[in-house]
Amino acid sequence: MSAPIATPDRALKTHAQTPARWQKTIGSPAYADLPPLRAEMRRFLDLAGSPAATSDRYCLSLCEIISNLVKHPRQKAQAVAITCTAAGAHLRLDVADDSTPFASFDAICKSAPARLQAAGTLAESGYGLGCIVAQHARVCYTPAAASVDGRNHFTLEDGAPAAAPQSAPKPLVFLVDDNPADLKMHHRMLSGFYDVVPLGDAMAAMAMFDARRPDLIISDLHMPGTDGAALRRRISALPDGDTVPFIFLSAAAEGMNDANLLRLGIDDYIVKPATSQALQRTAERVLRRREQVHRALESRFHRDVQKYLHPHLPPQAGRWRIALKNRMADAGGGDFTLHSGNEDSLSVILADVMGHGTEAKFFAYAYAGYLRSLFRGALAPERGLAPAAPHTLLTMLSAAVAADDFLDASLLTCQSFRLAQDGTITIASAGHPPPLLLPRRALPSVLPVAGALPGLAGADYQPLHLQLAAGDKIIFATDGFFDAFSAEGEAHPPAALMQMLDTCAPMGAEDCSHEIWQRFEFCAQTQTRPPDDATLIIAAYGGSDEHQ
Amino acid sequence: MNINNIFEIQPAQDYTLIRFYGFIDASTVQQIRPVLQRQLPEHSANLIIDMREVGFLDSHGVGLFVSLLKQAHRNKGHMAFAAAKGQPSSVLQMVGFNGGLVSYCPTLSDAYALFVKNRAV
Repeated sequence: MSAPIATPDRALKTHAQTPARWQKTIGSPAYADLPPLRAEMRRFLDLAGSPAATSDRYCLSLCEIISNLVKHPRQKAQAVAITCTAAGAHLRLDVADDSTPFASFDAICKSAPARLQAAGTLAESGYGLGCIVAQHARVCYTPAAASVDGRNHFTLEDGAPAAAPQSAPKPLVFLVDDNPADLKMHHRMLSGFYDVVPLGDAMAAMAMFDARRPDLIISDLHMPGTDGAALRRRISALPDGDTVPFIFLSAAAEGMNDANLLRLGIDDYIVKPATSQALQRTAERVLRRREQVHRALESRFHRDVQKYLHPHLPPQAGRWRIALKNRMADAGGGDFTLHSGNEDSLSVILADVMGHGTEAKFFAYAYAGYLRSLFRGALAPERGLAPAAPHTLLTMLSAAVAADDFLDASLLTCQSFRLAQDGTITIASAGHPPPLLLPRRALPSVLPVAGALPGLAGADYQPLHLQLAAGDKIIFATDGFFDAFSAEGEAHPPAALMQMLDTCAPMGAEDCSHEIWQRFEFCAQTQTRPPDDATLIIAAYGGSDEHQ
Repeated sequence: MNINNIFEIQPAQDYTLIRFYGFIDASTVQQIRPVLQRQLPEHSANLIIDMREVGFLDSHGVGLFVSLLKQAHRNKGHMAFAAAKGQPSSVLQMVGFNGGLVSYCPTLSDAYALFVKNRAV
């Protein structure tokens, strides 16, 4: 364990108006520091009257931050200062360190709501930041280059500060001007509305851009060395740089019509001397427009992804009737289907990418595209050749996942089945909940088809062949569907589902799916778990609708 | 630190019980992982993770559970968390293991019943 380099300064105050504070400084951090640090912070939070669940969250986050400092920086921290303040419901934890800054933390913290989803992909590491970001209302990482004291700061905060009402963080504006008087004046004009970083030349702006991504850059056009136009070009060439709004300031009004400048794609041009009102209004208008465009693009992305992922199958394939129901949860991972058919059979793949939220949706979107490409030849071969068998498809998938680090870092369950016109069905499964057989004149049962998750060494997929009689049905579903019927800790299949299936035996595929889905929606409403994507497929052989 | 104070393994006919004590965090997982790999029978398929005595769980512990889950599935088995409460329970919920891959059992008896019942079926 590293030795503390300063005595803990625990000045806990109980005065209602004064925040209680716990401060601790340690030397080069080690994993062994975690239990005593956690114990000290818990004592402080208990004394400050924080609820136990809140203390749990802060203790976990402190551990994750310190663990990251032990594990990741190229140049290890020599000193870490921890400060936790509590004032009523307002809690704040700040961890300052002198290690090499984490280049990726800023981006991760900016995309906080999506970060936990990476934790849902079942990699064996990488959960720490997801846990931190998911647990707190505000998470901020400020690298040394952008902080006032030259140290990296990881700051977590919950609840509104007692003294100041909670407000949204101000947009970050880089103000670049080589004229110190102009820089000071414009800084004063904007600083009440924005978090303004004054910078004396273009190179300082470039360096700062590496550390913090601004919401807006306002730059003087004419500067010695790298001028405003060159700065715009260089920023545009950086990742995400071309989406940062850019306003020129110049004493020369004729620049407004300069074709070369217009080609740079700037958002506005302000002639010096600028009035306070003109500067503020222009900055506000440009930022509002940027926000509007950003929201529109995000909304379009969600719409497009959902449209692409939405599972669909043909309602009829020869003598098979097929019904499909799906719930696409905002928070859930991604269920999707792929299918291909000819006059003899219909091959279907039902997949479920684990995870929650936008990131998982994006992952599912990428996975669906990948599988479509992987299976293109195998599902729909050239004329005269039979499509690959379900277990062969899963073997292909497993080999591809094992060979690809990116895919192996996610978790996918998959079921593949082929419906043949003579009533045979072939099924293979890769970590997917087993399907259910619903005979027309017998009790429902679980089909014994199982297989390892794709990507595990030695995955060996065995097909199950089954001959169905007219009116028999097979039910395939993803775990989001089964979970809604399951009691805590209940094994598959859920008893509540099996009981209701008895009454569905005589129904056709469409009626049966309607009945089951209604019950699913009822059960899902009473679940405390976050909603996940859920898909139900019922395949009925022999035109069972005619047998009703 | 005595590793025997952190976890113990109890193989049974239908499952292997792994009982953890105290903290499963960065300070302990580094020591647990190699010993667990040595001591856990390679063929272990059904795993019960006894969480009754776990007081704290962090992301390193979650990573350890993921490796156990993968082993269970590699051996065509299942994994169940038994009697998780307080902070460890919150972390497991937050990370959100897929309900189809693991079971959350309120008590250890429920976890035993899960695997014994599966055998009976």
